[in-house]
Amino acid sequence: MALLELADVSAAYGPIQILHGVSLHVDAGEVVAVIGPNGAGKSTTFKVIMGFINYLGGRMRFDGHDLVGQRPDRILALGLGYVPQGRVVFTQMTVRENLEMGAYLERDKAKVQAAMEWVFALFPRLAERLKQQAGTMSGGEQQMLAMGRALMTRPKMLMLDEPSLGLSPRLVDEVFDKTVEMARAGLTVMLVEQNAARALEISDRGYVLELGRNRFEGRGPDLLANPDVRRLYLGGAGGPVSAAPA
Amino acid sequence: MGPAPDEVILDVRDLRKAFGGVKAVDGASFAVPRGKISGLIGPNGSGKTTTFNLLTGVAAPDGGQILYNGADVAGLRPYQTFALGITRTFQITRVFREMTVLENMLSVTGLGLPDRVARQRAEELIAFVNLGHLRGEYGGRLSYGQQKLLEFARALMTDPDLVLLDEPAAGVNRTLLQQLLEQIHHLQEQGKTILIVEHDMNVIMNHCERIFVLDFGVKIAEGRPAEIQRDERVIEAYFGRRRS
Repeated sequence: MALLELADVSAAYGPIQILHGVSLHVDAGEVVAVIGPNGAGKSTTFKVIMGFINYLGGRMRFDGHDLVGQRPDRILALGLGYVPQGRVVFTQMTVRENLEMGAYLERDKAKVQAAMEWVFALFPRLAERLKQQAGTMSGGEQQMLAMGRALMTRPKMLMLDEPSLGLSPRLVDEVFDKTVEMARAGLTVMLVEQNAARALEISDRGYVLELGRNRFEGRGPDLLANPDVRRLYLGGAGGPVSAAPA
Repeated sequence: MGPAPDEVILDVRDLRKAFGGVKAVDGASFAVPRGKISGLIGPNGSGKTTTFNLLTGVAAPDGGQILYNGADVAGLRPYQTFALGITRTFQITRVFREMTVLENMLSVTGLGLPDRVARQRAEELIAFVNLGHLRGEYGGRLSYGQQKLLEFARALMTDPDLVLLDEPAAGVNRTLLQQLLEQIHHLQEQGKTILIVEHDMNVIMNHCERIFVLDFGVKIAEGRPAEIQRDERVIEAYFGRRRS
């Protein structure tokens, strides 16, 4: 049974509808990539799942619970972790404080400490930097911290929004390696990536969105090899053609 | 004999702009042909909007030249580039919400026209973008797509030679988009030059004669749509590269 399931989901930013009936599912233990050209609705899909933006219609379920109308903190408590785009860490706080903020729903100090140990096992470098102010870390380290913070709730599934955005090639490698490691540690992962080739490479399956609609889905290697998917990024894959010149 | 080379209206040479340590535009060079519809594309963060800001004086370049009709306009203020015949629209519309459609049009100052003539032009342009029935409506009450049409019409009040459109298709429904595209072609038929930044590749590939592709602030390719769609460097810039 799918851990996360979206059926025909529509969503808008204010008056602008972005998603026009997106459907996808993620099974427990899978790594699933959501790719597509700019404006496809990838990040919007994550935001509507987390309850951040205007939901218009469709069904969304996670681990047997209906997500529609739920507050973001409730969704988090259901075991769905989220790492937003752009390495959003609390820059004025230390690494430890950032991680503690990730566990703000948990009142049991022992459980917070256990979660932190688990995060350190995945991200040893964070353990070495506990007292460092997050704002003074490199972009790659901040991304690791953001991922570690999201793990502090011990989620069943983690959603990563553009984890490689703005990182140097070496750090891009590191972020994808960590994602694979997290998956091996038993986490279910769904990631949105502009670096489609790299994301599909580490994914079991992928969905390709365009202009807020499903266009392709399949196994990562199949999508990678599909020239229509690549072409989608530059038009001409038989997509919804807008007005031809007069 | 091949066809005569395009006459260039805007010749951008080695343009540079950094924000802190980030080189948003890092030596971009491209020449926009006069009287045509061209596209400026590139993945997120490739420097497209920054380039537009440099071309229109919204930001001053750190280096390079912007030759418009042969004269360097780099570093001029927005009102100066505007007076020279360069106009633009914005990614997120900037209409005056508490002014009517007609008042928005007439908010364009420095036209050097008698009020009566300015008003007539405003009415013509409102009709041109099919907003005639909304001429008395407040800007803030228009749909997002209608606001884009209004901003487009307002940008034409100066009778510019070069029109820069920043993501005209974003958030516009298919019907209004179709309209907007027809109007862009009408402008071109009138001899205007149009340069479009746009993520909707169907708009770019179906409507632009020439396309410039930016990645990391440099031009990585240039050509006709079919050439750009086949270009491996462009595909890689958009789709990413597998780990080698």
